[in-house]
Amino acid sequence: MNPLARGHGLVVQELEDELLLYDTKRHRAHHLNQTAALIFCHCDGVRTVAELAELLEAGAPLEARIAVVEETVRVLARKGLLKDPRMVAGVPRRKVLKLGAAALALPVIRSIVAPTPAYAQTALPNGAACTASSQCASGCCCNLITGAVCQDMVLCVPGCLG
Amino acid sequence: MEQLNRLGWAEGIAVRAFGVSVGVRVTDAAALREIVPLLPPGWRPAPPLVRVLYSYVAGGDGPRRGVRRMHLLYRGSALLAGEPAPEPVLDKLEVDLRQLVALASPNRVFVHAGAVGWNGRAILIPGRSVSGKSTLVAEFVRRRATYYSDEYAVIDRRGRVHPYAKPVSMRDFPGARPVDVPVSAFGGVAGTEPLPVGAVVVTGYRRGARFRPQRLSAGAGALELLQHSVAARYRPQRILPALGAATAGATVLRGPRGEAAEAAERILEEVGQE
Repeated sequence: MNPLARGHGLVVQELEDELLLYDTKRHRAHHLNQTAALIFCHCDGVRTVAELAELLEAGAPLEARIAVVEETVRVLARKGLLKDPRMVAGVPRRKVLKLGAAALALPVIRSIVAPTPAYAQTALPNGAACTASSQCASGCCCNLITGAVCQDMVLCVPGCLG
Repeated sequence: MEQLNRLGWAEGIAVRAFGVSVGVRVTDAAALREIVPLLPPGWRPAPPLVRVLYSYVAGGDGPRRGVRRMHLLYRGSALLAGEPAPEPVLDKLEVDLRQLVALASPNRVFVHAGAVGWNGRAILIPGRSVSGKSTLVAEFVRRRATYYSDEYAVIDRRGRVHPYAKPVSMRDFPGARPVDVPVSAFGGVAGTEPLPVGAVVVTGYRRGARFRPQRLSAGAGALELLQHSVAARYRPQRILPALGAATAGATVLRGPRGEAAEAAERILEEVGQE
C-alpha cells in the first residue's frame, strides 16, 4: 500500500521548505525539516516509495534514497501522520547512512505535546519529569539513570541537562 | 451567581485588553484603587457588558468582636480564592486576569516569553517561569534595548510583536517571590510600536555554562514558540500562521546560558551579523 498523508485533524503550516503540523486529535505538534516535508507532501497514496525516493536529491544512490523514504514513512506512520497507520518496515538510521545517504539532508521530525495553558508558563516542581533545565523551578533538569527529573542543582550528581 | 448578585456592590470597572472585555466589581470602593494597578497591561475602559466578571468581596472585621471575614474572589460564580488577608487574593486576581486575556484574546497569540526591541526588531526569549527570562531581559534593557515584556510575547497574525509592558519580575533566587521592578530602574524604556521578530533565543540559566548557541531553522523556532503558547490547544489554526510569520527570516538560537551579561553580548553579536 502506498503511503497516504492524513488530511483530517491536521493543521498544516508551510514555512518556506519546512512544515509545522498540529494534530488536533492528539494535541501534538510536529516540525518536519525539508526532506521530511518533501516526502510528507508527496504521500498521496499514488506514489510508491521508489517514486518518492526519486524526488530526493540525485547525489545519493537510489538504494540510499529509498532507505531514507522508508525510514521517513515509518516515522510518519508511528506519529499518526499517515492515513494508514500500519507500520512500514523501515531501515535503521545507521544503515541509511552506510548506504551512502550522507549526501542527502536526512529527514528530521521533531514532535512535542502541545502545552496546556498552565504548562505553557509554569515551571515544574522537583521530581517532575523534564527534558531541559529551563522547564524546572530549580533551574536543573537532573539527568538520572532512571530518567531526567527536576532537582536542586546541588543535589544533582550526574549533572543538569541543557 | 444570584446570591453573589444580591451582595451590595460598591463599585466596579469594565476594561478591554487585547480584545478581551473583563469586569471587576467590589464590595468596598477602596479595594478598587488597589485593583486598578493589577489590570492587564494595555487595558482601556470598556462598556459595562463584559465577557468575564470578577467579584471581589472585601473581608476584614466582622459584625461581632473576634470574628473576621475572609477576602473572597470569584470569576463568574466560581470561587477562585478565599483568604484572611487581601494580598494573596489580589495576587490571584492579577494572575488570573493575565491568564484569561492570554488565553481568550481573539486577535493576538500569547507566548510565554521575554521580548525586547533591538534595531527595529524583536528578540524573543521563550521559557517558563524561573527559566531566567526576566534576568536576560533586564540585561538587554541595560544595553539600551527597548523593553516589550518579561512575561508574554504578544504576536499578531502578521508575526509582529506588541508591547506587554508590565514591570519586570525579578527573583533573588529560584522559587523566591518575584518583586516587580519598573523598567526605568534598568535605565530602559518600554516599546510602543509592534516589531517584526529578529531572533528567537531558546535558553535557560545553567550555572557555569558558556553560551555557545546552536542555530536552528525557522520551523524549529516556530515549534519552540508553540511549546510556550498559552492557547496552543485551543486555536492552532490561528496560532500556527502567526508563529510561522514571526519566525520567517528570524535567527533562532538554542543553548544553555550562564551569566546574563555574557549571553546578551553573544546574542547581540549573532543578531547583528544578520
